Amino acid sequence: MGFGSSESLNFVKIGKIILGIDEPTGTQSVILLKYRLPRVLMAIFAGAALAIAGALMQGSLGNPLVSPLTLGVASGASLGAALAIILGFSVVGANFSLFGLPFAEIIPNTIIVFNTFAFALIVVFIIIKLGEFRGISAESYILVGIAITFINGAIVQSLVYFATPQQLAQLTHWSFGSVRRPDLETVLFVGVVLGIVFPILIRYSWDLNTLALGGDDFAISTGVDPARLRKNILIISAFATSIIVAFTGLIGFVGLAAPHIARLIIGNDYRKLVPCSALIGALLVLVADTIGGTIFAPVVLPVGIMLSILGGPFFLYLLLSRRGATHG
Amino acid sequence: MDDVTQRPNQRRKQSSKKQQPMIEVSDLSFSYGKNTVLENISFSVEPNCLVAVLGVNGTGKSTLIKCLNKINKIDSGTVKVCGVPIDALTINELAQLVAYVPQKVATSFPIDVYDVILLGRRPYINWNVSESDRKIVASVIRELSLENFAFRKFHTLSGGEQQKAIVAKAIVQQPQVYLFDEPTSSLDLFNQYEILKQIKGLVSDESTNCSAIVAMHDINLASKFADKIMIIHESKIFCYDEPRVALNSAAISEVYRVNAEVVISGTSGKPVVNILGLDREEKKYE
Repeated sequence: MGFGSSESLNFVKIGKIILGIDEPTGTQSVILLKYRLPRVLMAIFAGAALAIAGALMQGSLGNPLVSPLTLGVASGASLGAALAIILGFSVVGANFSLFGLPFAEIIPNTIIVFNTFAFALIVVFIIIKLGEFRGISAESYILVGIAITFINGAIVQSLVYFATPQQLAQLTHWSFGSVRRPDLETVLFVGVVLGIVFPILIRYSWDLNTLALGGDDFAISTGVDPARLRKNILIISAFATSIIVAFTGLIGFVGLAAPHIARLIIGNDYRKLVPCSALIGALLVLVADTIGGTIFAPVVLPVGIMLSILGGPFFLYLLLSRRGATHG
Repeated sequence: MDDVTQRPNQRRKQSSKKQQPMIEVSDLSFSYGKNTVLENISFSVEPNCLVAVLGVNGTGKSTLIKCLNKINKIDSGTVKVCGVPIDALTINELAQLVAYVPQKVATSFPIDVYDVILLGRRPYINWNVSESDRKIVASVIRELSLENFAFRKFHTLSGGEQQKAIVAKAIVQQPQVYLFDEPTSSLDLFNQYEILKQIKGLVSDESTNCSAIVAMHDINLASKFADKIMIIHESKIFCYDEPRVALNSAAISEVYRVNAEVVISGTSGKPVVNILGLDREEKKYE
């Protein structure tokens, strides 16, 4: 595990290797391309995706406590992982391939990855459908989301109750989100997907400004359908974050906190808030992963844990030092 | 359920008109749960017409306004804007035809007034704001003399300034129909007058053929500015006519339960309502 950080490489050397000026030695090349680069990219992608999804969900649901993981993705992903690890149940076979691509060979732990992704999406869809059934208000989605999360939690705990110690260890390890699992190909694949999703999400900034300014009535009269906006944002955010979580496990906190930190810095205008959240999210995960990798080197603390340890107090400090500045 | 065949003389007026009505409402009903608010409302609004909607509190003035732009989903009936049923339009398409100004945009959301006004272009914007969008916004800001606070934060403005900014946003939307929901209720005399004058100016512009429907409380302000007055009473249209006809002491007494005299102003030629006292006598209406 600790391999990524214990071997030292200086900046100049890295720059030269990336730019192709310097021929890397075998080990250095392997470390850089196979371990460090995917890790850094994954941290950036994960932080940005979770933060953007958080900002948009908080805005569209008018609730500052919502984050992509709390509204279905985390509980769905956990359920998917538990089913795969403990029961061996999966939506895809071990030799799964799609569009002629042999995913099972490209992606390590194919079964867990696809299962977490699929279940995260399924759970979010259930929440959206039930939320719509109850009424299309923001509150419906949140209440239904909480109920479904509890139900999922109970199922996962039942599974855990019957799990062997090895399965339990694997599941626990999965749940400690980490950006150190995927290889470069996987990370680039995630990057391409997010590259398509981000512009769509950022395009909603205007609509969110309308909603934040004058509420549902004002939005409708400005050509924005608040019900459709909420649904679209929930679906696309769930899609983006499910992809991340499938590869990294649960990286909490950043989706909740990054938008708030961005708000304190740049204000509520979603046209600026969304890109700023992405930047801060990426930075948070990157810093947390770096510190987690070096502080007890060669032991690596998972980024999910580091984020909460470092980010929690920082977030509290920001909130308390700039009271009244946030807006839900 | 075949309502169309039951109303043979409904088309009577249309042939003689030079243009189709801006708004055409037939048999509109709306209820909140079991509580019926509006029942079988039918009316139409001609181009360049300012309609003031009057009525006591809770009578459904605002509800009616919101039924015309899909904020409220009507139970039955049809609403046509420029001849097109609103059901056939998306919310975005409808926003290109109808602009709505709420009573008040109460917000702590910190956004520049300029950006608030620019939101009026939202129904036309695909990916990004174009140069022509910015030109339209700039010209409206100039027209309404909002230069002084165009780059201040919206939530720091006074009530009157906020309302003007929202009116500007509605104008920038370039609609055919303006809906105002008690736009003056939280404003002082000067601002009330100024806003209504602006609305009147929009409607009088012969080049655009716009119309406006304004829910309001001040009868005399309505009388002064409106081309037609609609009084909503007990879920129905009590009367819908020119101020001179609509505003009479019997109607005022019936709807508002006050004794009033109506005199025709010597200077404006419009009816002016003076409230003489409360109508304490129980009057049953059959």
